[in-house]
Amino acid sequence: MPLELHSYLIRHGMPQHPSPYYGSPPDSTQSGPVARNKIGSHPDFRSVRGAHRRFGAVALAISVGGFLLFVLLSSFLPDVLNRPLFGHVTLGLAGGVGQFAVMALTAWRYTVHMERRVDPAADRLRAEMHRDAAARARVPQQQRRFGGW
Amino acid sequence: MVTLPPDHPVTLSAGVVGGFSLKLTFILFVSVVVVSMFTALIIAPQGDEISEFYLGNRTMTPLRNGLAMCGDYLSAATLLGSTGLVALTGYDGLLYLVGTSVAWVMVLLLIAEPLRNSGKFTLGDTLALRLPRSRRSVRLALAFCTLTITVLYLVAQLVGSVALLTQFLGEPSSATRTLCIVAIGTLVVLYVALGGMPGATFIQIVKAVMLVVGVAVTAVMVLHRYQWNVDDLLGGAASGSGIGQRFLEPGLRYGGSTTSKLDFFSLQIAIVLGLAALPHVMMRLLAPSATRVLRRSILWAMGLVGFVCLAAGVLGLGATAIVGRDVIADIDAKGDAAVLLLAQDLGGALLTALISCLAFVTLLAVAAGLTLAAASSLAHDLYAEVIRKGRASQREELTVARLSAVVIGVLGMLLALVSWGTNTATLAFLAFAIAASAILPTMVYSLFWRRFNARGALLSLYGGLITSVLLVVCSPVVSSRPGSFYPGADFAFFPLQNPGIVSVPAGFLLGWLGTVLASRPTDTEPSETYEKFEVRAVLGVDQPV
Repeated sequence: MPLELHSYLIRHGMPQHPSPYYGSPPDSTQSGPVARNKIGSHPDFRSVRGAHRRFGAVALAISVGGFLLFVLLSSFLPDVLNRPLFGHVTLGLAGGVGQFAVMALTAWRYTVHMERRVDPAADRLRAEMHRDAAARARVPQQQRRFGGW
Repeated sequence: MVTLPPDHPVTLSAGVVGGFSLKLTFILFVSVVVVSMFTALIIAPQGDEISEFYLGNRTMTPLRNGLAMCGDYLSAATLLGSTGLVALTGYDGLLYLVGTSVAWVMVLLLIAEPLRNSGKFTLGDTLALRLPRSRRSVRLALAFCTLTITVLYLVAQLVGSVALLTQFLGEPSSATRTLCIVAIGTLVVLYVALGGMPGATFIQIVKAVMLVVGVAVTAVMVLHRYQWNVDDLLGGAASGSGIGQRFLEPGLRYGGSTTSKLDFFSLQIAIVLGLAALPHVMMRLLAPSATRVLRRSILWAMGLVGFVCLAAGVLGLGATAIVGRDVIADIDAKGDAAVLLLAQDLGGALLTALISCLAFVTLLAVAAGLTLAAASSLAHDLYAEVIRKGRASQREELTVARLSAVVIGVLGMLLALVSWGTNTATLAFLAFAIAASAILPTMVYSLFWRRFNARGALLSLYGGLITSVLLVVCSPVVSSRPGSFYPGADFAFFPLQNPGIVSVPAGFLLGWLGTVLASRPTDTEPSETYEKFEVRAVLGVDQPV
């Protein structure tokens, strides 16, 4: 049985709560909310959240908004997009391929942004939370032991 | 080595493809099905763990995850329908393909990471964690929307299999039709009920690899014929279309009037926002066990989808250039035959068989992904959490999930048999519109808006669903046109065929309105609920440090 559980944990990589929860978050024990709230108002947490959201909003406006604008331009200002560039290639066709380039650029900048600005701080905060939780999990045990004595 | 027979003449009555190709397709398809079915049985969940049935192997590499996402995402509609659209309408078809890939930016930037971090098995779990006081009612609403979308899209896939068969046999008899739908539907049910997510993932990966290789080989053959000169290919397409440079300009399909231009914009909104919110695609985002793995998986998926879409554009242009637009339109007015005709011309019976087998496997894989998402929602959200109120054992829930797959599959088959003549694109576009106007607003609000509450969630879910369905019912799709379901009647007061331009803003507006107007104290959640949820969504606390 321990071996089975061990291999399960390795496969699923979620050592905190191997059994599924129903309806409530996995670690909503007595000590849960305190730790969460502390992290929630941590300045690092706010900067992580802000960094993710600001980048997402701007990049989304550029790539998805840009694409929808391009669709509207194609429909309502075809003369602009039909301007020939070279051979049979028009401004519109080049713009269509350009959308793929914008998409690739967005994905690349997003990855770089997340790896530089978000991931290190998020890892730190997560480690802090796990440390807090582990510390709290130890305390009651010690008290119980003392009580026993 | 297979010896190729002389090219079969293309005739209308016998379908596009000759008998040898049909046999080869059948053999290829059966071998793929047999191999993947055995593999699905071997890697199927053995124990009573529901997490394995719903999420599969959570430690897959980003490349495999990306392939599976790509497999779930790209349906046979992309391979046959979109390339046909390019072949017939040039620029407008190409723009449609661009929209299909841009939709992934939405997934990457906005939804994927917070959804994975806060999610568990289904979208309902995320919503229940965010709105715990009304978790049953929001789960019910979300399950209802999920089932509507998945069943619509599933019926589109099954009906599509008949349309594909038509390319071989000409107009199929009713017995052939029934046999085709029942065979494909049964295979889908077997994959899902026995294999669960591991089985579905395997067939997705097989299909994605076949799709990428298949379109790459055909696109290389097209480009090689034009000496890798894109301008020559465009020139060939322009002359093959019979209308010259006009083919490479916007408006061929959607440029007739302002109404049809708005219709195209409406369709693009539904695609860009709705494809990202399709339940089976979203459910796959929950599988990776770490945020970084998810991010790299999505980058793979974006790259693969982008590549397939670019290659599909080349195939469409190549079909017009090499086969000719009139020939394609004569055989199938929607253009679904374009790729098969192109393959016949470029690589003879062998390539045709490969591409048609690819199309069947694609249908099968997407249908399996959809059935799995529907069965998960039915078993986990509806049965375990709403009906049994969280008291069901894992074994019980697993049995219900397997049975749900059978129920959904049978329902899909019955609906497909009833509506086999329907235009599959209409069903698929309605599914995208519902996803964009019901599921997307709810998920975006619950991930990012502190005040969002159950009233808002219910209003945006039911409201978005009802708005989209009503607008389609009151559109030219259903009445007033020669091609509609009821050509005789006229209750089409909404002029567009795609409801997205109205229903997506309506979904967001209803969610906002419901949240702002909620007055009962039970509607709002205590503020620490959102704070806990937010920490979870931003940091992903379930990952190993």
